[in-house]
Amino acid sequence: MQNAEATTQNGTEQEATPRRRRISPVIIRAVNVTKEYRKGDVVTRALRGITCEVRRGEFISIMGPSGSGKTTLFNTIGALSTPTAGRVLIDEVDVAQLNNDELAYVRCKKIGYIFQSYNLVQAMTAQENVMTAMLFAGVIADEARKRSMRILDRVGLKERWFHLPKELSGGQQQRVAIARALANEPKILLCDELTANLDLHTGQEIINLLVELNKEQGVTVICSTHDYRMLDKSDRIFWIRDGLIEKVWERKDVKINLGTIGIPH
Amino acid sequence: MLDVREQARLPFRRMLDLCLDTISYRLFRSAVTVVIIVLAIAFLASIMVEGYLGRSVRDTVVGKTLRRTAYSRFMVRAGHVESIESLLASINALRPGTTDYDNYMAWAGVKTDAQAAAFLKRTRTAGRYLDFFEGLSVGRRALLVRGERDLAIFDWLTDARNRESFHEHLSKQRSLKLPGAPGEFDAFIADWPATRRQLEACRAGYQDTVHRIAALSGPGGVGAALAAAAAENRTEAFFAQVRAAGLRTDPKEIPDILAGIRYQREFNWAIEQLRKQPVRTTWNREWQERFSPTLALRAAADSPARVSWIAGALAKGDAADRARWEKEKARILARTPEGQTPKLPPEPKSWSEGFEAERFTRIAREYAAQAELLEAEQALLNRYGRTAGLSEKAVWLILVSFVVCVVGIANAMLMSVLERFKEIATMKCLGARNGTIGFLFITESTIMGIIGGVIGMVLGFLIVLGRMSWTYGGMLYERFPYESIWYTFLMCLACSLVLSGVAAIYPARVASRMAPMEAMRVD
Repeated sequence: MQNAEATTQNGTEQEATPRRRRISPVIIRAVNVTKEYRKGDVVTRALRGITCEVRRGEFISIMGPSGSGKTTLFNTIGALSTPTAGRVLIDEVDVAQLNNDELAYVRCKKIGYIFQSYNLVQAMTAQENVMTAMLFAGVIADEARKRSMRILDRVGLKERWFHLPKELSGGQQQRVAIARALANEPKILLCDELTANLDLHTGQEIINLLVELNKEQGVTVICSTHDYRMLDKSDRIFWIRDGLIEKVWERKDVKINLGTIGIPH
Repeated sequence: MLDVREQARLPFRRMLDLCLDTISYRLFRSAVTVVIIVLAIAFLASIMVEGYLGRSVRDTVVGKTLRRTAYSRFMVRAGHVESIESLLASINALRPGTTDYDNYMAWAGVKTDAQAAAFLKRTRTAGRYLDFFEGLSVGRRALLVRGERDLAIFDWLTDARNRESFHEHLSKQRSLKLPGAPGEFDAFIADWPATRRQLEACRAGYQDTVHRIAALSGPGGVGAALAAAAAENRTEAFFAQVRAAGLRTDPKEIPDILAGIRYQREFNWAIEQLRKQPVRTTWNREWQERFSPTLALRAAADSPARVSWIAGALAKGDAADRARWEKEKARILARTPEGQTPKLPPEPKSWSEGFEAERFTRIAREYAAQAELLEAEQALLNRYGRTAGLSEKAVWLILVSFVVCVVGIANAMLMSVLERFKEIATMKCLGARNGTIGFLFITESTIMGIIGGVIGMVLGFLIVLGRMSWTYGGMLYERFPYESIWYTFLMCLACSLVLSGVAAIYPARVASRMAPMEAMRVD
C-alpha cells in the first residue's frame, strides 16, 4: 500500500526522529498502517498509511479534528483492532499477525487503557475493579488484593477502596480507572480524552498524576486529547488529519500560554 | 514470541464472584430471568409430582379395594367361563407365582416351567398381534383381513392365499408396520393352529372346573354354597372341595373372600329393604330425588333421619295394608251368607318385619365407604392411567414451556449483553479472552437457572402437595413416593441447568465476539 502521501509522510517522520535528545528503545512502531471500514459497498479509509514511532517513556498527545482517524489510530496502536494493511509493532510484536487470544494477551500485559467515561464495572467496588484486571492476567486472588491496594494507595484512593463507582466522584472514578490501567504494570498507557468529563481542577490533578507516573515508572503515555494542559506536558504532539499524520511537534516547538486560557492558579 | 499460556485462565471461583456481583447489581433483570425459569420448572415439577402422588394415592386406594377384588375374582373363576379372547387377555396379564397363574397353567395342561414359558411366549405374541389388528380402522381391517375380528383373524390368515393377499395389501400401506422382526409374523401364523388348540384346551379345563363347582354347590350357585359353608363353619372343607374341582385359592385370600361374601349378603339384604314397595314409591316424594336402591343406600349412610324415615315408611305401609285388609275382610264377612265359610283375602305380609335400623345403618356406611373408594379408584385410574410415566400431552406441554423458557431467557440475556456492551468491551481491553467472556455469561445464566430451578421445583411441589392433600387428605401420605420426588427434584435441577445453559449460548456468543473498541464509544 505504498502511495505518494505515505512516502512523504515517512520522510517527515524520519527527519523528526534524529532530533530527539533522549534516545530510548522504540516501543511502538507503526509502518504504513492503513485501516478500511467496509459498510455494504462503501469503503471508508480511516487510516491511509501512517508511519510513526513511539519510544519508551515518552508522553505523546494525539490531536486532530473529529473524523480524522484519531480514534482509529489509537485503536490500532492499542491492539484493540488489527490494521487492514501495514505493520504495528508493539514491543517488537506484530499485532497484525496475532489471533484473538494473543491480542488479549497483549492488551492484558503490555497496555493499560483509560477511557473518557471511566468504564468501571458498576457492580464492583474500586478494589474489585482493579483486581479484575489482575485476575485476567492470571494473578492469584490474594496477591491481586494486596497489589491492588498498593496501586490504589498510589493514586490516592486507599481509604475508598470498598466504594462502588456510583459512590465516587468523577475524579475519583478516573483515579480508579488509572489504577486499573496500571494493574498489570503495562509499558504503555492509552488515554482516551481522559479529562473531557472532568472539571478544570480535577482534570489538572489527573494530568499531574499521569505525569508523575510517566516520570517515576517510565511508562509510555499516549493520549488523545484536546486539553491544552495535557499538550503542555507532552513530549511530542501528533496532529492527525484525513487519516495521515500531518505534523509532529516537539514540545519545545509549541507555544502554549496557559495564562491566557484562564486557569485559576 | 508470545506465550499466551503465561496468562492463566480466570479461576472458576473468581468467575462465580463476578457473576454473583453482576446478578445482584442488576437485580430486577436477573429476577425476570429467574422468574421465567421458576415458571417453567414449577410447571415441570407440578406435572411430575402430581403424577407420582396421584399414582401413589391410586395404589393406596387399589390396595384398599383389593379385598373386593379377591372376592370377585373368586366368584368369576368359580362361576363363569371366559371367552377365548378374554382368556388370552387373562393369561397375558398373569404373574408367575400367583395361584391364578397355577390355575390357568393347570387348565392348559402345562406341566413344566419350560412348557409354561413356551405357552406364554405364544400367547404374548398373539396378544401383541391382536392389539395390532384391533388398533386398525374399520376400512383397513376390511381391506387387510376382509373384516374378520378377534382371533378369527389368525384363523383366516392361516390360509396361504389369504396370507398372500394380506401381505400384498399391507405392503401398500406405507404408514402401517407389523410389530416384531420381519418374518416373525409368518412364523407366528404358521404356529397359530397349535396355539389355538392350547388355548381351547385351557378353556375346556376352565369350563370343566366351573361345571364341577356348579355341581358341588347346588342350585343356589357358588355364592350361596359358600355362605352356607361359612355359616356352618366348614369353609376349609368347602375350599378343599373347590380345589378338588380344579380351582386353587390362595389361603391368604380366603378371609377376604369370606368377608366379601358376608358383605355381599348384607348388602343384598339392605337393598331388598329399600326395594320394598312403601319405600320405593314414596322416596321421590319425600326426598325429592330419583330413587335408585344404591343411591338411597348411600344417602342413608350419614342420615339417621332417612333410616328412621325408611322404618317409618315400612311401618306406615304395614298399617295401610292392614287397614285395607281389615276393610276388605269386613266387607267380605258382611257379604258372606251365614253358615258359609268366607273367602278371606290372605293376611298381608309385613313390610317392616326384620328391618333393623342399626344393621341397616352399618351396611349403608360400609357401602358408602366402599363406593367412595371405588369412585376414587375409578377417578384416579382415569386420571393417572394404569401405567407409570408422563402422558404424551404432558410431555408436549412441558416441551412447549421449555421452548418458551429458553426463548425468554435468551431474550433477557441478550438485552443484558447489549446493555453492558461497554463493560464487556472494557473487560476485553483489560485482557479478557473471548472464551472467558462467553463462559462468564453462560455461568451467569446457569446460576440464575439453578436459583430459579430450586425455587420452581419447591414451589411446584408445594402447590401440588397442598392441592392434593386438600383432596385426598391422609391417603396421600400412606405411600408417599419419596424416591420419585427426589428423582423429580434431580430432574428439575438438571432441566433448569440445561435450559439456562442452552439459552445463554447465543447471548454469550454475541458477547464474546464484541469488539474491544466499543469501550471507546461515548453515549
